[in-house]
Amino acid sequence: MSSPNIQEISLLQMAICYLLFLVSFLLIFYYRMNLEKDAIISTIRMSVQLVIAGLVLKYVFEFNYWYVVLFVLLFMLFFGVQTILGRTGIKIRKTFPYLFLSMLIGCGGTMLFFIFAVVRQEPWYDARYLIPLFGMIVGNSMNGCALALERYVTGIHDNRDAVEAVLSFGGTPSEATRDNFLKAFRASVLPTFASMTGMGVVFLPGMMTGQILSGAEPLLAVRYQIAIMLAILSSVVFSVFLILNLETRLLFNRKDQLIEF
Amino acid sequence: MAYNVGINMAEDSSFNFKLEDVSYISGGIPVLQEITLTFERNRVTLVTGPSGSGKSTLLRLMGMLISPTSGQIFYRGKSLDDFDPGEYRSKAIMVGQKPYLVEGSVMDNLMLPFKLKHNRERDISEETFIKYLGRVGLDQDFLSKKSKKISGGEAQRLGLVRALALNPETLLLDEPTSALDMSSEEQVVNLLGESKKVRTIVVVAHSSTYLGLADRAVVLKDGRVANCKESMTPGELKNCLEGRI
Repeated sequence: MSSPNIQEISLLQMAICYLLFLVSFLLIFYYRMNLEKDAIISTIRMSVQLVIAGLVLKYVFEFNYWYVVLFVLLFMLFFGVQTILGRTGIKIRKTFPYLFLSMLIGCGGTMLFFIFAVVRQEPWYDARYLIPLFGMIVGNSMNGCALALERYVTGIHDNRDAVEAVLSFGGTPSEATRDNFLKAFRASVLPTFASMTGMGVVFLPGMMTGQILSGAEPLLAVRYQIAIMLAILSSVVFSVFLILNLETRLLFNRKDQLIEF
Repeated sequence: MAYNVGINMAEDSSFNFKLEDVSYISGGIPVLQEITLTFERNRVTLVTGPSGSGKSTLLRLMGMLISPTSGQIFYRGKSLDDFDPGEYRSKAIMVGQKPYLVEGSVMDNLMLPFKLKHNRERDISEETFIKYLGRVGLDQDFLSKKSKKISGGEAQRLGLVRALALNPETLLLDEPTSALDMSSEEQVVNLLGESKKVRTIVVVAHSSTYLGLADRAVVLKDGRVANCKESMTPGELKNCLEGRI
């Protein structure tokens, strides 16, 4: 089955693209960069996950039940949180539920605003809109939260003396971790700002490219892109802000003492 | 060691600190074991002992930065468990060996604690800083110096002045003069000697310089209070640390 306005690529044409992977792999192998396993695993995972996602989406789009859409969105969120914890290696108790809550509020809240105030599609749970848009929002928030958490927890771990010095003057945990909070927050939102700054000049963003390839008017694609970028920025800011504040609670006990981690 | 044997001090608020059978275990390793001590108000106590004997841990426990694994600590008759942490720590201030410095001038660093919620109401003037800095051999120009450019010894003196300016009831000092030369150390010791009229000082140090200042010494060995005299000459302290007293 092919879309009316898009140039079809066959399975064979897609397979040809793996030649590009082969070239990259040979380079990695030849220079013994010790990345062979990562390259193979990530490429296989990407391929398999996308094929499964395509099959699931085909089914979900066809039936378009609200509860199925909701389940897919929650699954995406759950998987995003798992990925963050796996990538950062954070083992602090209760981080998972706090991170899930932060992303649920940050991404979910932004998404609700986006579909009810901006796109206003009918029905509101239309999978064709909700799933790809939520995917972009969660994906970016996931990167932001991973960066923020990693910087924050490592920063506090490595600067324990500085944190305790502020506590020693009667400072609260928020006051004692303020420097680390700001550094982590900046590190997490800067990639989004950098991406916004280069957009339209250095590169055309993925969603806009996809819409143009599907035959959409470039100016309509631009409107969507601007709207989604603002939604992404807001979800990254909210999610990161929430998780950093919640993580601060986890890093201190009820006597405002920095826990061992 | 005969520290106030037979008197129930838990409720006695005339003591600044009372440690009752305090032990602290970190990562399965006992750092302090069954410490029972009292610290009188407006006295200087030197806590000394070999490296790894638990001196800094004792200070961190008293500064409420960590809690005992077992046993209890009382501050002026009240268990540390019953204090608001911020309120307590602004009364009993701990100063580490390497004071925390932020980017900016010395003045920015001196003002740091006064910007915290618990200390915002405290009065402070530049004159107070200048007075204390003068006492430890630093002049007014030091205030505008960049924190990145100050030496370890200057940083230690800045840390001490910052804590004194807060006028705390208790000062908990961890090796406060380890980076100072003898004459600067003497200035600091003199300043602390005057300061003890109005506050309790517990100082962790290897240096026997503090023996002259201290009203008593507590010697720790292997996480326990060693059986030494409370008042010692430098020679007696050395003997005690080597287990000869």
